[in-house]
Amino acid sequence: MATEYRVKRGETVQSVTVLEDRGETVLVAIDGQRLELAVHALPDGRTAVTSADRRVALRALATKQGLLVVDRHVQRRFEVEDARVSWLAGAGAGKGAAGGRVTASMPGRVVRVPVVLDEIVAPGGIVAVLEAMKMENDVRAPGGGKVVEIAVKEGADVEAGALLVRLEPVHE
Amino acid sequence: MPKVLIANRGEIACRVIRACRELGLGSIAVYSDADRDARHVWLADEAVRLGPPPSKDSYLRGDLVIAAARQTGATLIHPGYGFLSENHVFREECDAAGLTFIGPGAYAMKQMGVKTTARQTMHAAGVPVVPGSLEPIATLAEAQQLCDEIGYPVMLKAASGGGGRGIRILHDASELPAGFEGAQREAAAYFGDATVYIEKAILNPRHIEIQVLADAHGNTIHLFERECSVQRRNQKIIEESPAAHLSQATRLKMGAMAVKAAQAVQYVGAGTIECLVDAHENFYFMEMNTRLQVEHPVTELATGVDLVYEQLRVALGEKLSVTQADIVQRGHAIECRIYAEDPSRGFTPAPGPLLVYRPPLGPGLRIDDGFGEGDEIPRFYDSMIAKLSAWAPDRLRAIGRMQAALDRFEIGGFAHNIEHLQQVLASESFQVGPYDTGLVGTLPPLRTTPDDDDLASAFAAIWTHRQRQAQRPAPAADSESQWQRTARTGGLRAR
Repeated sequence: MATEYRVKRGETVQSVTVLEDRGETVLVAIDGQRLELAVHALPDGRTAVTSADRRVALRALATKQGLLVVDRHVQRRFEVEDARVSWLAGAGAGKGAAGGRVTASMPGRVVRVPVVLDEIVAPGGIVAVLEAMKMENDVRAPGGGKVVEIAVKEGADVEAGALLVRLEPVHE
Repeated sequence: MPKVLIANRGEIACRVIRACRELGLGSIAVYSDADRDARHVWLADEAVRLGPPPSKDSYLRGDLVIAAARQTGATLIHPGYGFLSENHVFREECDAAGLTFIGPGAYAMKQMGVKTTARQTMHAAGVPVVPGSLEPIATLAEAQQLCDEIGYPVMLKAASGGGGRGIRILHDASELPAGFEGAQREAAAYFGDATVYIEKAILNPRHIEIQVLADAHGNTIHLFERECSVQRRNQKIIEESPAAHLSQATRLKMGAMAVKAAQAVQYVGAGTIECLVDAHENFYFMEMNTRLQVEHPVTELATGVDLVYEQLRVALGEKLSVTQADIVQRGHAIECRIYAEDPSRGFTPAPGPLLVYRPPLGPGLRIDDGFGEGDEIPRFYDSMIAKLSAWAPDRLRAIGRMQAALDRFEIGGFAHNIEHLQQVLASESFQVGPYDTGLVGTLPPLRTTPDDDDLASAFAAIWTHRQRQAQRPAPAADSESQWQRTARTGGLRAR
């Protein structure tokens, strides 16, 4: 039975329908274009994928941030959803947007938080300084705003994605 | 046989352990809790835990390193680079404990370790130095006065720094107060010494350094130059030997200057004289690194001399195995440093697990690494994962060999700089040369998001599809027949 998937990578979304999986050959449709692929596992864990004009050896890894597909040193991160499921989820989209949350882009130690509550931060202003791998890195608030929460103390160790500072838009 | 304790981690610890093994010397690794399962720990004959992950609680604890040497009966200590390698106090503690520190004497380390003293000593020895302070700068007021005198731009440097750390460039007086405070804080945090000094910034110089080797029998030689002008954040990413373009006359003058500089501090062991070179091939002493350099493989490939082998020989009291007349540059060598960092986000470090790591092999290639597939790159230390070096009979073929090797490097699971290295190697400035330390800044922003690839997207869908098919509820439990159940439970009982 054909199954349609929404394959998301960053901003782009492709529709990939697995029309028929015959093991060593798979018939798919990418955004409506039919394509026959030869697919077989290589001994080192990669998968050889061959179309009429090209062949690649890819490695798939399931990670917390989605499906990682590695082609030598080129990596692509995908989120793959069953198209029927993503249609249902689409109704609720737009809620819970990150908004003014400034988070740590990497694990590290908080060296400094140069802002105070209620301070108005200009777009691109520095709200924290993180240290990782012997480097100090400025963390900026791209959109700026009023500081409504400071979630970390100086000297604290934080994980990637941890909330540092929350901002609210400033209405003029 | 004597045992060598390697007071380091990562690729350089592995490099030294291998050299010890080749010479038949015992090897002792040390590690922090973050490195318990690291490569170097399992490569060495024995390993001793130092302490918690932060460097200051582990790899910078000289007392613990000396205790580890005592405990295991090691009589020599190889400090690698970074950490304790340029710490003369540690060197003296080794002497007091009766341990042989593999490196120069405390006198040379003191003279060269404090950059302001080094400048004074070299100036006195007739070696050209960059204009700036010959004394450390203690207060903001002093800094302001000197900067106004020599004129902006200026460089603020940690007196005990090195390896590109603790350096700030200030373009005008408004940047001085914050820059001075930041430089002092970083210097204190990373080198345990808040002292900074000021040099006039020679914008976009070439960075060319000379490798020297000296034994305790009065022999000092140089092994020609390495060009290290490809830098980001004042840190080298690509090095080559010989330099892209350098007249033979300048090369020989720099070599002779380096030997003179080393002799001026009674240098013993392997060391490097780093110079700034301007467009007219005027060169200035910048600093001496009194240790093995990260980029030593290019010299080894271009001269055929094993620098770690020579270090160990010298430490055991022997003469160098080569003389100046033996040293010739043969062919061309290039090294690329592979970092876990994101070039599209200002080269921010990206620690994480090495989900995929399969470096290329082949004729004329060398890999120096300290990690394997599946290893976690700890966030406490440097973000360099590996060094890939290529040798070929001439420069263009060496570049080609490196490009082809990087292209087939299988690596993933975290951000890395391979596309950035490829961008540099392919640039006209690098290909044609000469180039300077401004090279990286002249390149267009790197797009690290690869183009869509239908085969990759299709594979992502197929892979997911097959995972789901495999996870479909298996035939219900009651499909197991009475016979099967009896056989299974009976089998259990039989054990």
